[in-house]
Amino acid sequence: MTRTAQRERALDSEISLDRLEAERDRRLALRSLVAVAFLAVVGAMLPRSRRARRDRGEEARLRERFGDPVLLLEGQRHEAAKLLGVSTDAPREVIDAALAARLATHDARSLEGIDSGLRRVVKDQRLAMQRARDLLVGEAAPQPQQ
Amino acid sequence: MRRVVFAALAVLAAGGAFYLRERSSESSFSAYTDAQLDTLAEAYRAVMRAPPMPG
Repeated sequence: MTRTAQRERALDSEISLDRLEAERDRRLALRSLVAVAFLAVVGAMLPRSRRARRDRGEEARLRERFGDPVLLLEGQRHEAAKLLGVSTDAPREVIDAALAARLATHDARSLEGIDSGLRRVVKDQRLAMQRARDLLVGEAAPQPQQ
Repeated sequence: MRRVVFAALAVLAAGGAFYLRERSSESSFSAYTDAQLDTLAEAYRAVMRAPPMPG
């Protein structure tokens, strides 16, 4: 074998080795993709997490014990409307005016010199009215001040 | 939502795998097993490492 032929053979081998390595890489990538596809199918078929199921169970127990939260809220809204003397779908201005009128009849300043127990009752009523107003207009009730 | 994401991932991965398999079948090395490829690669390296002939 001549030197030139040997060099050509080495060159051919190098090219073939490159193609062979490319084939190996393709096989590795193919196996990886098959594994990913398999895991993704498993992931798609897995049921919801245990925690979600537990939460749903908890929710079902609460619903069974206390009733439907939507109905509870609707009942509270009706009570709030009754307390303020307005309808549940009254506009905000009407609700605010009703609250102002009710608070005026339960003015804390007019309670000076009255029994502290009675004062507390009136204060609780004022607080309940304000909460009723917040519930009807859809605002979060303010945190009680320390 | 989780199922949709996983299903999309599965479709993408399967599509990629199919594409690679098609590409692989075009290669002259596709018929060989992994062990045969190792042997072939070793033979190619031996040819490349062979010392040049004198003269």
